[in-house]
Amino acid sequence: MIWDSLSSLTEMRMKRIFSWLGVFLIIVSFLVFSAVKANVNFDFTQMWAYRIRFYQGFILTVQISIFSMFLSLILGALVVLARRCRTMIIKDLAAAYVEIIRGTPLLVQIIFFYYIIGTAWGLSNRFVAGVIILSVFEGAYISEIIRGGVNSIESKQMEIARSIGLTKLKMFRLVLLPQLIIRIIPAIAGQFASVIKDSSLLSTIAIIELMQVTKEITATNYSTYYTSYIVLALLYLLLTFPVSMLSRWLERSNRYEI
Amino acid sequence: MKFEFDDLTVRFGSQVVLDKLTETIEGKALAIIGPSGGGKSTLLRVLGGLLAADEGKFALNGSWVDNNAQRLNEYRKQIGFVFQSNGLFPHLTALKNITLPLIHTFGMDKITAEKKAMDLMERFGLEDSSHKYPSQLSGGQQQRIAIIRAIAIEPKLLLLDEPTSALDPELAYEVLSMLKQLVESGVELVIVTHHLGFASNACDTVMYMDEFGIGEIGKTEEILKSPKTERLQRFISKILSI
Repeated sequence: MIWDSLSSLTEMRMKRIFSWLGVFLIIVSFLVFSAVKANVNFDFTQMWAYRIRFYQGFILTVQISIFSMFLSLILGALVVLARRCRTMIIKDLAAAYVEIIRGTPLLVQIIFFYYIIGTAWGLSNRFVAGVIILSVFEGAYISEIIRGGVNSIESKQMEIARSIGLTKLKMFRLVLLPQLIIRIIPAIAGQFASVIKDSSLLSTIAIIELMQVTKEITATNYSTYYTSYIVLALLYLLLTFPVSMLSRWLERSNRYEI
Repeated sequence: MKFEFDDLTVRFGSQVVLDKLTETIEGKALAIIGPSGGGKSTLLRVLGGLLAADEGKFALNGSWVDNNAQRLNEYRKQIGFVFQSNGLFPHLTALKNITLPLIHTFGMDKITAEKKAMDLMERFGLEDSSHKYPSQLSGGQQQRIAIIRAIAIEPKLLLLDEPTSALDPELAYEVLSMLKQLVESGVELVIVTHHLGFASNACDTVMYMDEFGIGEIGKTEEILKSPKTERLQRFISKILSI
């Protein structure tokens, strides 16, 4: 019996592996077929020469992303608090921030913030400016995720917490926060993947992250154009895939509602 | 327990739900009965300190309760409250639900709190549920865990807001027999209920309430066997006719 269930488990696992192999083959053959049809040549051997530049861009992208995730999370949480604030002007300011940021393209924001606001206030460090711009952008989305999570926790939970005599701080720490975290983790992780991808737009203000590295390489050596962008895509996947795996794992291991 | 109401008034917007209730009630187990929309649950939430009255005040065993937030929180600590349904924290196991107020409201250490919770769960045959989450428990088990959480703090009074209205008759029976056991062991309670059988078997006092306010209060046998007002007579015959 045990052996049967074990072997059926390995059988399931084998099926999954073969299925993923199939998916991989389908995607790769589609891309290769399209490339041949479009008469595009891939020469990955050329890429080796640019390994250090790719590496430097990759590290910078990772750094920008990590700082921006952190800052945007704090900013998002503060905006949620501001939107629940009793002072009307603070509340409206927070709402306006979310609407404006979510309603305009990131590219426009980057140009506007960096060249106008950045210049006006003497912010010349591109890295710092890039992190701030990206955090301000993602913070608006994260605040909406957190706000939705807070709203989805019934007000009844707070009444129960009150009925057992918890203080406001303990209500937050023991009742609201743990439920909130579990509910918003998948969406927050998705947003973190966006942070990584969106950081590519910072190449517009000449921050030499992954995208900018690729732009520079292809500008000097046009024959590497398509190959470079494939390498670029793979490097972004290398960053976003673990984030998405981690979120799936967290979601599963913290589930209490079946 | 002795409750005194003095001009107790609650409004939701322009709707007056409790209109200047002035009354004195004494008893060990009080059942509040009456049609829906008569303000029973609202009154219970006021008595539990969960809802501040717009006007008036009330006293439990001679001490008056007002609207001061801190004093209200102190008052709530003496009361065990059981909600209609979904009264547990979904992210905590049954055991943790019970120990949360013991540890975080009353400062009990974890080991003592867990022992106390386990003892109570054993007493009511729920020890197998201790490590399950609310979503893994039946509605009846959830309510019984909620009752254990409410009595674990040894409250002066247990308040229950239609604790069986969301349950099948069989599960309702589980919950009500547990409550009967508690009353017999000396726990004082106020319950809003539609189970007249439970009211007459387990409660010594009954209060009838409808949209016109408190109709009748008195000893259970008198109220249920020989209701004086026409509206209570009608309510009882309607319930018994189902």
